[in-house]
Amino acid sequence: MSSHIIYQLQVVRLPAVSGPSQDLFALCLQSGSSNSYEGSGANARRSRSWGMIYAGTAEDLVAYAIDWASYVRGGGTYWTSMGRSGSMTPQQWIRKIRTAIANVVSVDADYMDGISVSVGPLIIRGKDQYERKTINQLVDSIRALGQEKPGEPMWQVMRVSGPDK
Amino acid sequence: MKNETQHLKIRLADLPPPDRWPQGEWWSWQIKRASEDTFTFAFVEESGVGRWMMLDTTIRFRSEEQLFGFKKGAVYQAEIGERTVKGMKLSAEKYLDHLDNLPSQKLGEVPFVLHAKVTVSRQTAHTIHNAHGHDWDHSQSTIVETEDGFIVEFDIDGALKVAFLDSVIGSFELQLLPKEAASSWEPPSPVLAGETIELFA
Repeated sequence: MSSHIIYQLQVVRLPAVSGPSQDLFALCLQSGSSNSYEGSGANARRSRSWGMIYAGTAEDLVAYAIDWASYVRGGGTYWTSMGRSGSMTPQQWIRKIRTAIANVVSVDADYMDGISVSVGPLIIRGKDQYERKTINQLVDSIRALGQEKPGEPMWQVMRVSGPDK
Repeated sequence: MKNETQHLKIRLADLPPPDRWPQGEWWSWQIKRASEDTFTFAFVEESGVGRWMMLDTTIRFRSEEQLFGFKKGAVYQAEIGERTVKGMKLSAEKYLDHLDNLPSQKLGEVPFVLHAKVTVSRQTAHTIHNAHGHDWDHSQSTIVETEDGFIVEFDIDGALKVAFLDSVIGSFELQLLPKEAASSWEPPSPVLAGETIELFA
């Protein structure tokens, strides 16, 4: 059975450009499976990539972290490495998400009509069927997904590039 | 608004070993594991009515939803203030610390019977009777057929009953049924970050 290893977290704030909506907070992370490798020989390491897994209000992200905490407790999610050194308590996991929210980086509202935007250490854009959408349109799609399937992962919406670790 | 006024973490260390011990390494592991399992209950008061409810168990995949469920589990309810502990609001992390720090008591030491109610669909009804080559003894169980499947009820009085809960494919709820002495029973004080929780109330 494979586990999910998380290497880096970054929360991105996507500002509500118009209307009564609240700003959207997107939880981006670099992660990979414990049994999937890239490279060979001495250069082999567990494969990993950036993605956006969930977005909503800051409170929604905490709720998502609490939901995910059951996988942390059950040994399904580790932090930076497998085994004892990477194991964490549900409390530590929730705290990491709170810290990531506190260290949020914000997209400039002037760039919300672009199809790609650089924010903090990350570059975000639409993915697959969302590829040609503007960031504003992505926000609308994310809000619709959140209402349609509350608490479900949203890996499919955004392509995220960021620093390797 | 829910308020947890008492807590009880039961460990099953004193459950008697089975009379007929199923053979095999898997069963040895299963029986040993069952003796280490714990069940955490809270006496939850809501709208003037209180009852014991299971919050957590170490049996795999059996309490994740009620404890961690997205915007409905007890941890989330504590986080947003819909659930308090002795009237006190706790963050998600503090609430989990509180549960972790509850002292455990052996089942034989508490004035309650641990009663299981298992709901099994027709498709998985075979798991009521057999698992890994072992035939379950339901001579002390009540099995009722329903429109959708079966409901199996029994008191947990041995490690094999816990092993059954772990292997049966279905959902279950556990109830604390008071023995006569329950009215005068006082749970041990829980510890929160090295202090008794009453200090924060």
